Amino acid sequence: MAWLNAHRGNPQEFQTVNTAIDPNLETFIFMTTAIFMEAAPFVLLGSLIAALFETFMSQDRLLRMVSRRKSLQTLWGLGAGLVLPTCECGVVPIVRRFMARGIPPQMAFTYMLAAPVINPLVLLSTYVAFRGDGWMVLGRGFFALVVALAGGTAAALVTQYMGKSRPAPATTPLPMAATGLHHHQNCQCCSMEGNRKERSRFVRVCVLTAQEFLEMSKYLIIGCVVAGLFKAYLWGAWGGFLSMLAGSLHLSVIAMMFMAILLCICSEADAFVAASFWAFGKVPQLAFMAIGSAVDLKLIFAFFAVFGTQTALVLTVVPTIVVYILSILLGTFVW
Amino acid sequence: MKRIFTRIFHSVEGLLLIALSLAMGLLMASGNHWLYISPRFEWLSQLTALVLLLVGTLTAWRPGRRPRLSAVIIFGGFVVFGIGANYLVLQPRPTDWGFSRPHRVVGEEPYKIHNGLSYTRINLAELYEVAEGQPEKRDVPYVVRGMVQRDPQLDSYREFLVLRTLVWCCLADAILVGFRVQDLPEGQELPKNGQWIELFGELTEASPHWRHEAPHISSIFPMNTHPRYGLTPHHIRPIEEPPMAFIFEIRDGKPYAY
Repeated sequence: MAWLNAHRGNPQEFQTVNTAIDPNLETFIFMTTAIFMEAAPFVLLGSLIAALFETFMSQDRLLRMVSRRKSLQTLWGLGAGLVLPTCECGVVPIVRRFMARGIPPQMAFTYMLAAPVINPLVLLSTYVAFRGDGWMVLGRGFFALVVALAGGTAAALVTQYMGKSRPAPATTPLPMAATGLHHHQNCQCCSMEGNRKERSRFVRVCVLTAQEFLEMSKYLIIGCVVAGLFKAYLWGAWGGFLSMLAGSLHLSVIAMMFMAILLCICSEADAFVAASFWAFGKVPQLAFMAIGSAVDLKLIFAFFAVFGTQTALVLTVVPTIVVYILSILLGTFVW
Repeated sequence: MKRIFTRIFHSVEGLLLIALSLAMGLLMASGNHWLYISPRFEWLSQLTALVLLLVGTLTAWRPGRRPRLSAVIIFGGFVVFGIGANYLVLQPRPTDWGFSRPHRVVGEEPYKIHNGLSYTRINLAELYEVAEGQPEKRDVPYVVRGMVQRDPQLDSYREFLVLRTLVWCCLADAILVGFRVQDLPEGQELPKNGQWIELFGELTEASPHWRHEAPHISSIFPMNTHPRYGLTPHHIRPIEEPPMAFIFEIRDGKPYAY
């Protein structure tokens, strides 16, 4: 393997691979597949949760649970990750379905940005990765809360301003026919085969899960391919350059944020990678974890496809600016 | 006939999920799953493949909507050319029904004896932890395995790097971890670049020239060599690449994962 063996001079080192293939292409294939295989279980879980909501939670009941007060919506969004923990890959299908069912954007976007961090698994992995350094756990939680508050509010405002409280219809197929939960008779979804028979709820959940998974996998695959291309063809040069920026607070924060966006590491594992970048210092490490849980290459594709251009831009730009400013403030005045 | 084609067309999404499930299953059965994901998450991949098989079968059997062309093209393309390409690159590894357990060291002694001296078996990531935060264990002789990385600058000092790939979850979070090897014994030649070695030696403080002359190695992963400690070898011997080349586990004490 190209990354495992530093050069390809000695044929006996490559007993496990086909040496006729270009090493960069080989790396690209491995990396793309690995990122997809890592993310797929979580996208599937997110799709399953979305399907369960679709099948077992009527819209009226769901909306009755939602407070009309924005402050409470925000609080619910911030804390929901504790009871519905997901990583950043799995949360997009859930939020997509939430919004399609009428959950206010404020609550949905705040949940989307907070849940990948404000959940027990991620906080525990951060604690372990930084060898029991409680300040890193607190710092990570604090960054996530601010990012979720700012990003969620801004995205909700843009969504409402644009007159869309739901994701774009072209990219949000709602296979209602499979659910049997609405009363349209001549709409496109009702003309589907699924409305002909009453299905068991189990089959309905499975079919909805499959459709949601396929829909979200489109964007995931595009993101994985781009991340794989970057790792295979650019990291060798860029990685060394970024590592040389460790001396300055501003540059090291930018370098670490840039790396987090390009590396596409799951929020449940990114603390271990962040911890290995000891040379950059604690603040850039926090910046790495904070931005990587909210924005990365594969997520950017999903944001644009699911939420539309304006909202996706806000979801990408606001967390980036917030994390950068927080990091500089923290690095200048506290650490 | 047209009805059959329509039926197949409507089932194509389910069939794609079945194909993905089978591809994942084959990857695991080939014994190469650890090249992508840490073996500690193999159960998760197995569960995912099973769930995909279930929902794929039900979707193929009871398609709920017309398939979406973009999803079919992208997903189908990935299953065929993406996952399929892995089989061109990989060759099957001999395993007991494929599923690998590299982190379970059974029946191996925590020590190796060389020239009458007992060396603690340890992997490079575990040794990094020792160098970083366990001063009471720094003076113990260790034996490590790793891949040699040479560099003209290091060659001039008769030094090289010994590295291994540490994977927490999947390749996306992999890093190269290791040490500079310094103060080679008299008569010991520098090993070949890319050669796997077993190194018997001890941790020693960094030479003064390190501070100013960090090696510039181009690597596919972020690289982390210890800044203050290096390895001084007593003995180096070339070995074959281990069956599980990556490090997936870091233990705090003996027996180390090696």
